[in-house]
Amino acid sequence: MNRNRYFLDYTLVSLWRRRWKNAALIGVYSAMVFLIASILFFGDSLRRDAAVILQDTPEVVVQRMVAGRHALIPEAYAAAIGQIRGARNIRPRLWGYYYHPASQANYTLMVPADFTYADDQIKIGHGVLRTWAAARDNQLFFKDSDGQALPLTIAETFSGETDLVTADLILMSAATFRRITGTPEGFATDLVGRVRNQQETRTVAAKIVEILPDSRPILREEILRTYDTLFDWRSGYVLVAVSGAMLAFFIFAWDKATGLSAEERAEIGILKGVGWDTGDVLRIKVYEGMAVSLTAFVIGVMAAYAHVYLASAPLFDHALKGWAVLYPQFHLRPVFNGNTLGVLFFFTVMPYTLVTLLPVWRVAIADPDAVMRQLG
Amino acid sequence: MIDLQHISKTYHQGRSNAVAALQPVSLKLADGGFTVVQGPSGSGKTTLLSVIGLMCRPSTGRIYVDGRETTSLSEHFAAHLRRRTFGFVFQNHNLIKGRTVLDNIMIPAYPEGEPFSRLRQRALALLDRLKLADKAGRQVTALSGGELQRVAMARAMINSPSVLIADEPTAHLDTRLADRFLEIAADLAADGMTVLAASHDPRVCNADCVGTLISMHDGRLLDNKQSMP
Repeated sequence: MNRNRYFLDYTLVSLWRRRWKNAALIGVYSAMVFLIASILFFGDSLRRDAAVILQDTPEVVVQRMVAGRHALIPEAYAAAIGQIRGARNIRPRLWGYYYHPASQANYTLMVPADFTYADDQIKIGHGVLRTWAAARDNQLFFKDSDGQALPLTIAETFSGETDLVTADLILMSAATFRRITGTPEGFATDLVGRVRNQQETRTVAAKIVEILPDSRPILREEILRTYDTLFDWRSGYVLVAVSGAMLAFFIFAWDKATGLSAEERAEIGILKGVGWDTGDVLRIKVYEGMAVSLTAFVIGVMAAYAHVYLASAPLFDHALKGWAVLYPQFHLRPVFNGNTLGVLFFFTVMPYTLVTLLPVWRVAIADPDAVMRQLG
Repeated sequence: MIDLQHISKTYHQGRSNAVAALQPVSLKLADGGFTVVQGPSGSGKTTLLSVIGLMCRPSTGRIYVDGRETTSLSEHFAAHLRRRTFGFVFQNHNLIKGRTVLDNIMIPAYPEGEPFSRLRQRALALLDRLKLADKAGRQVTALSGGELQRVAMARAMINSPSVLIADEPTAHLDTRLADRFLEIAADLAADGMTVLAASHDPRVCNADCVGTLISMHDGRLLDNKQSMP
């Protein structure tokens, strides 16, 4: 116990003695941890938000494919699918995209099952009103499939908390949707439904294809997986972008680690000369490495937390949120992911600590006499 | 008792730049007393002291310290024995910069892990004995040459070793300070400590307090003079 206290005390005094050098090292190190942690936190939050939002969505979506492309599906297919054991609440869904030339943006149109407003009323996301160039007197002006103007009144807007998926969303009645998109009666964009036993979703999907060969069932778990892949891809893209900074850091760390200064070599020789063994010397150097890397880790992680969750990640939001048609303005909800922190710790703290030990070990295993002679 | 049997030391052994610093040497050093190894630069004095004090391993031969064979000890046990049995005063003092006098003196005892208050008390007592009590909190860079050497001696004695080894202890000292060193060395020898110094300084070699004088040349021992202090 006392031994460790002495070694710890020795380490702290050593760090303080080279405080400016260590401060510079911690600064660069923290910046690198900050960059990586920001990307990982961002990805975690997006994935979590996607999972939360998708948890209430149907387990299965059925599309119709014609010549390999998504086509309108007859509403009668719902009845056929409803006959499959385990499938329930199969209903047609109307949705699509609407391009608005003045704002040069695509909006998502959707008909909810429980739309309570009139045919000339709509419910919209925050991003729609923000970007729609021709909004006037609480009205948005659409064109129907025949090119005729169609004014619709905003009855309600979504709350900001759902901005991730509602920023570009416009909800309307089925009749209005059909008028704008030209979707004929008896057809829908796709069908959605639930599966009684979650373990059976793949079996139900296989049966749907069996009875309706031109259909393509998409499972919720597949959508989640797609989101995960998308966020992973975007995180990877940004990681590549910051890899230059990471490489610079590792070169810096390697340079520091592989070349001990004459003063450091002298100190190791003296310590061994006065009776410390190799393990004692390595121990204080491990403590030094841990102190530097842990401090940098804590600073980097805390800065990344503030950057992502308090400041909404201004450094990366366009790169990482760019999957949406409209950039949603929202605050990410903090996610504590032990795996993320563990991986980050393993790949930032451990390599530095080990790399700094190598040259110390090389000097420390030499006879004290040999080290002293090199010092003259 | 330190018993050296056919000890030799070759640096860079097996390489083209190999240097035979110590030819096979056999020597017995009794406990207590003040022994000086004299000889010109490059005669092997420092190497002999390093080998005796387990600062390096001999190329051949065996060393017994109080009957215990030390050349085959593991690095851990050799360090333990070095810490407990030997205290070193290096030619250039080799104190650690950026630390106080008190810190420097206590550092050799850190691996022992004794309570801080006891260790500090012992270090302060040594400083007091060497008339450096008022320098305890000073940085070592602020000390004079004589003070540095006394700090180095205090550090060498912190673990109460039975053997004090000093390499060219008066090399950077004026006559007054050299005499002061000899006084302290004589005191320690009188207390029962074995004091072993390497020097080519006549002030040391001819000092009355020196009990045994060992001469070296080209890594070999020459005739030895022994006298009773």
